[in-house]
Amino acid sequence: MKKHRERIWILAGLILVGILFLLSSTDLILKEEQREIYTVAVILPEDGDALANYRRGIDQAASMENVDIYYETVYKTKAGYDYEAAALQTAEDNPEAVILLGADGGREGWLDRAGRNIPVVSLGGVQAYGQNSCRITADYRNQGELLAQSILEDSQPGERVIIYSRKWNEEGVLECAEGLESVLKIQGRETLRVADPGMVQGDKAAVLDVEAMSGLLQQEDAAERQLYGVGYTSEAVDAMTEGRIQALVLANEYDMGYLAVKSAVQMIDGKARRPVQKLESIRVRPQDVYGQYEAVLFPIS
Amino acid sequence: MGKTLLAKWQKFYARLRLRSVIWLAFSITALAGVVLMGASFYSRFTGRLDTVSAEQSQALLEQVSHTLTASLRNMMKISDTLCYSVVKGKDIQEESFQESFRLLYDSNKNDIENIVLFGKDGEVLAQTPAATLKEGVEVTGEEWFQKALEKPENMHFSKPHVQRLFVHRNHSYSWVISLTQAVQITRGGQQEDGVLLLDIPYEAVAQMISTASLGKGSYIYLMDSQGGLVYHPNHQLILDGLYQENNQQAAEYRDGVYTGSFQGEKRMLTVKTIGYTGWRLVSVTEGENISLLSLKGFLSLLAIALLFIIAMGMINAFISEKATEPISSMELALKEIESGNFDAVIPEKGCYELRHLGRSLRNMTVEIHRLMEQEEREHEIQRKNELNTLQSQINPHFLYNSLDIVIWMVQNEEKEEAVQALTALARFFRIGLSGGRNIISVREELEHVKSYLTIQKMRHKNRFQYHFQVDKPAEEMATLKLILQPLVENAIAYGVQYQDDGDGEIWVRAYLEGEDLILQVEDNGLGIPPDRLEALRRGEILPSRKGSGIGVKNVNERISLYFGPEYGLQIDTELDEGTVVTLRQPARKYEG
Repeated sequence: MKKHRERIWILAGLILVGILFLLSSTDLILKEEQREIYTVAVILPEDGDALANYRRGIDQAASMENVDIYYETVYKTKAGYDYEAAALQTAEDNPEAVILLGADGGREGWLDRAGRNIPVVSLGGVQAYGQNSCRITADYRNQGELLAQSILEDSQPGERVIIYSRKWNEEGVLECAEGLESVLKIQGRETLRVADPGMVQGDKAAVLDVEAMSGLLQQEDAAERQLYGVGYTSEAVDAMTEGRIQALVLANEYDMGYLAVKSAVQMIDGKARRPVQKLESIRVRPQDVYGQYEAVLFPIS
Repeated sequence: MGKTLLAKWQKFYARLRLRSVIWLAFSITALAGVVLMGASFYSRFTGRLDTVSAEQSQALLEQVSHTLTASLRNMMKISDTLCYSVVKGKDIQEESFQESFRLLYDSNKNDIENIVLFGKDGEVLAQTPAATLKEGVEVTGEEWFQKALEKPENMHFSKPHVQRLFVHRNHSYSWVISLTQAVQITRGGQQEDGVLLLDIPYEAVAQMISTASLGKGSYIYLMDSQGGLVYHPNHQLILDGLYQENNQQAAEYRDGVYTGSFQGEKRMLTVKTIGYTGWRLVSVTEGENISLLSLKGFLSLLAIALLFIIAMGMINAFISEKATEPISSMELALKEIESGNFDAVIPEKGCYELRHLGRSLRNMTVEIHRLMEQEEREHEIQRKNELNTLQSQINPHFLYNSLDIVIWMVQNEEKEEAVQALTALARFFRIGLSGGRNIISVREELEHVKSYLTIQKMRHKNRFQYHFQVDKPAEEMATLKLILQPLVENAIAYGVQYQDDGDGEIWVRAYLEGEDLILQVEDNGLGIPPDRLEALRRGEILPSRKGSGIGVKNVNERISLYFGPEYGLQIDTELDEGTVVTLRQPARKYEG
């Protein structure tokens, strides 16, 4: 009886040793964290120079998270950028995740509908579509409110503010305009939404997309206007240092790019995702360009 | 408290078997040895690993420091060359001045972003490469400009910043580290102060540091003497608050290797100061790179330790089993002997002392057995002697009286009665002697009693009658010799001899009751008064000198002596009614 008990103890000990061996020396039970290389495709427009800061953030995160990034260019057609075609074509290369850069937003369902279960991270836009997608974006309404503060500082009650954009069909632009108008109207400013650059003349103009701003800056009479912009381009920053733009409101695009890759890796690993991450925006005046916001406007790459 | 623990320990120890004690002692000793050795080896090994890691880190930092110092010295040399060979003694308005500036830039343009000479009021006196100064730029307010003029004897390295003096093509920008130095310039024959600016591309510094790495989880960063970051692989993320570095803490360290934790993770820092600039290179080695014990490593160590403990336990069990097995065998044999089995063999095996002990125990047991047998034999002899002594207590008066009766019968010419009496007497003595046997059959005992009763009836002139009620199986049983006769004698003496003629009656019975044999003598005499009965039981009443000489107490003692204390006599009496004496003994078949 005693011998039998001793044998049971020895057997139990040996079984424990066996389990510990399996735990410590194999991947059968406990998988050791492996440095996996993730493949992520970034789809960006052909004239995506304005997206350089996103790319810097993406590259930084890629080096830290062991991600192999490859960029796919989406070309402009008469109907605009065909992100859907680009996304479906990119999916053929079997990336583990796709990051959409500069897309209008709200169309991540392409891959789902095509039966490709690939995580999609969109930069910009308003809300995430589909279970396998997420969005890193700015708080557009807050951007409008911040821009309104700058306009209020430079204007008198009763003055008219033109709100100009070429992308009135985009949800972000609309939200931003609403935020802007809500503050300006309370403070007695008159607002007018326009889609025609010709209407932006001597008035203070809030320009809600970077393409519209770029167009205005290239006009000969740009210096005569008081421009307030939303969004980052290096051209706009230079214009601000030259005094041609009075204020810019923008989100940290470097951080957005960085977070996009982090989110993509999380989704590849099957971890919980945040469908929408809204980043705070900053309001930059000409005197702040090389001051506290230098690192945001000119990220170190 | 201490005494309680000691008592508990002693109680526990007293319950332990020798084998367990040996096993525990061996195992604890071995385990302690293993733990101490393991801890010592582990400590030495990790210490060595830490040393190697620190040495590698220091060597790498030394290398980076060397490269960086060389590069910075080169910049300083260029600045000095510009200062003393190009600017000093030449009028800036000379054509050759601009040319010298450009030549020096061209030969170092991979390491220099741009070179600018400012007048004391911040105006650009010379620059290369050619670029358009941004409108509205006011350099006199810049920190690097002011420092250069405040301390003209020194060269000053700025923190990394965006180069903001010139208009860049395509709205690009670049991060630079500015090296500034106060210079004496000659303009139109007049001496005045100026500031020479060399912008070193941040990327060049970054490349020098980022290419040096100790692998995953290790990196190097550069900070100024106040802990402000100059270069960090995650510089932008730190500025944006998405990444943390303990550079302020590292700024307090002197050059050397430090181990600590940051954000709950262990890390090793190696600090090395760069000459002249006061900048400090910091190498960071994170987490498991400086620790042997990952989860799997720990489990692996645990498995090895457990396997060792099991093997050690088994070996110890084997040794303790082998060492104590002879003692266990001895204990078993002694238990057998203790229970009365002297045939049990005490083994003589194991080491010398145990063999010797076994042999001594065996000899001792044999001696004890011999003494016990001797004691038993002596006891048996003594018992037999006692029985014989008791049996020999038959009063010779009985013989004289019986012979008197026979004489009387012969004188009265009662020949037949005399023959009958003599026959009964002869039979009485023949059975009484029984060839020296103590155990006879019930039949013989009854016959003996019958002879006695025959004689007594003649002697008492037929004053009583007697009857025998005997079961056949009871006759075949064995009983002690001369145990009924004293009872019958008692019945005659105190029962029926005072009865009127022929009224006295005696019943002698023999039957089996369960496992017992019952012999019973009953009379219808006067009965025994209580005080007399008590005296009889106590043996204070001696047998009559006229009778056989064997008393009731004598009978009781003999039965108890031979069959055990649970057997003996029971006397039931009632005054004027009679007495029943019952003798109980085990029923054993007579095999004489």
